[in-house]
Amino acid sequence: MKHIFAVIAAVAMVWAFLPAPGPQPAPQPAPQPTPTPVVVVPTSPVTAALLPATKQDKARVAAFYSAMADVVERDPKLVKTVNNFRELHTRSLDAAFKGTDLPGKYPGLDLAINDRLKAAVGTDDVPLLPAKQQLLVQALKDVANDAR
Amino acid sequence: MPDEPLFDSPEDLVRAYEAGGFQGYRPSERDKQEFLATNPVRAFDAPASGAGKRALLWGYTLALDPGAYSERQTVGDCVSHGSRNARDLTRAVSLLVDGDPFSWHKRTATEPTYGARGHGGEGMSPARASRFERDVGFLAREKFDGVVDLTNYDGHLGARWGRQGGTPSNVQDLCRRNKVGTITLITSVEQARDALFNGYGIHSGQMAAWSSKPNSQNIHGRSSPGWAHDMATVGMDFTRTHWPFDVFFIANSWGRWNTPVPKWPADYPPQPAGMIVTKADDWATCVHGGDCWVYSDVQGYPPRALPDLGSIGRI
Repeated sequence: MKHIFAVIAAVAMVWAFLPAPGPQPAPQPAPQPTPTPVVVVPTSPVTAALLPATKQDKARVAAFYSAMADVVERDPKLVKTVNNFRELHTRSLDAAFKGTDLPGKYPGLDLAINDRLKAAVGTDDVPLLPAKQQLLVQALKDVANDAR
Repeated sequence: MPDEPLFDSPEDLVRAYEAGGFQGYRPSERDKQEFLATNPVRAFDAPASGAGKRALLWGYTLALDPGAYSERQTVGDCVSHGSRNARDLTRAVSLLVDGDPFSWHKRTATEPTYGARGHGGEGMSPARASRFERDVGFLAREKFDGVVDLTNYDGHLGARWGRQGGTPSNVQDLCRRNKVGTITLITSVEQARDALFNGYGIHSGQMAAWSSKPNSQNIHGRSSPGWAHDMATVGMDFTRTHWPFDVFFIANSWGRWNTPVPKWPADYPPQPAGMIVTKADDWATCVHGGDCWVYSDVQGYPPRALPDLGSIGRI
């Protein structure tokens, strides 16, 4: 249990020291509308859920999952099973966002993130062997990238 | 003077059920019809298909009760062990789905169910166990001051209650605080697969036996003569990733009676002592025998996504 708290603290530290979103650019004159061809760009469910999000909120989500990926990748000895990861993820989310306006602000975001992680490691409590651990790290990075 | 155990060891159990024709499972068409006639749920409707999927549900029980599946029956109460293992599995999945592992409390007891078998001999019909657990209930493995101490398994307690006319009324009063929500008879392998995929435990009584030694296919093959026995089915793997065919996982109540399968997938929860790994085709006898029961902790069988990875409701 002590290890889990240490890892949560590590996530919080990494998350806290990630660069904050930069200063807002000075307002520019609105460009004149010009007709453009319609291009359908496939978006991930995470990106889709965050379409209405502010830049700051996108950055908060991206920074959190980037930090989670770093912690899982650098210190896999403490996250040995899917249940270890579930506990770390749950407690870290609570530490980072509980009491803020983020939980539930973007409907479907929680499910989209869960689906992406579930696709990588499933939900059964099984050992996170190196190959599975790498899948999890990649999924966390994907969530971070899709949130940006 | 305490009763002598009927079975002293796993070997005793194998000998009695196999060569001695011991009947722990006593089929009763009358009990079944009485249960079904009073059951609010007529048929099991799978909320989601488990085709091509897997559900390693014993891992959920072990997460909350690391000693689960270790109780070895000492009398002919296999039906109450099978039903307990099914309902504890369903409870464990429910609590983990709800993110509420601290409500697990304790493993539940077998004795009140076995005491209600309706006769003084050994063995029980699964339908009668189902009816007791649906209409009366069950208790945790703990001491109930002034009434009964169920902290440690005592097969003779349930055996004695049966001889004395049934589970005592003050024990039944305590049981009424915890009832199994819904119990349904299932009749096909697909229903069993889907029940497990949605996190619902199963137990069944049948006349069938399995070898104590794994075969070259890395499973326990069927053997004869059959056992009149009840066991819980606690998982399935229909992905064909580790076996080239569909498999079910059965929890027995005989302790370390068999040799575990040697090639155990690294990404599986631990293999409990005595577990039977069987081909779905061989397992089909459990459902075709007509005494295969699915347990839900609530009314009906709502679809359940097995535990999320932490994000649901938190972001």
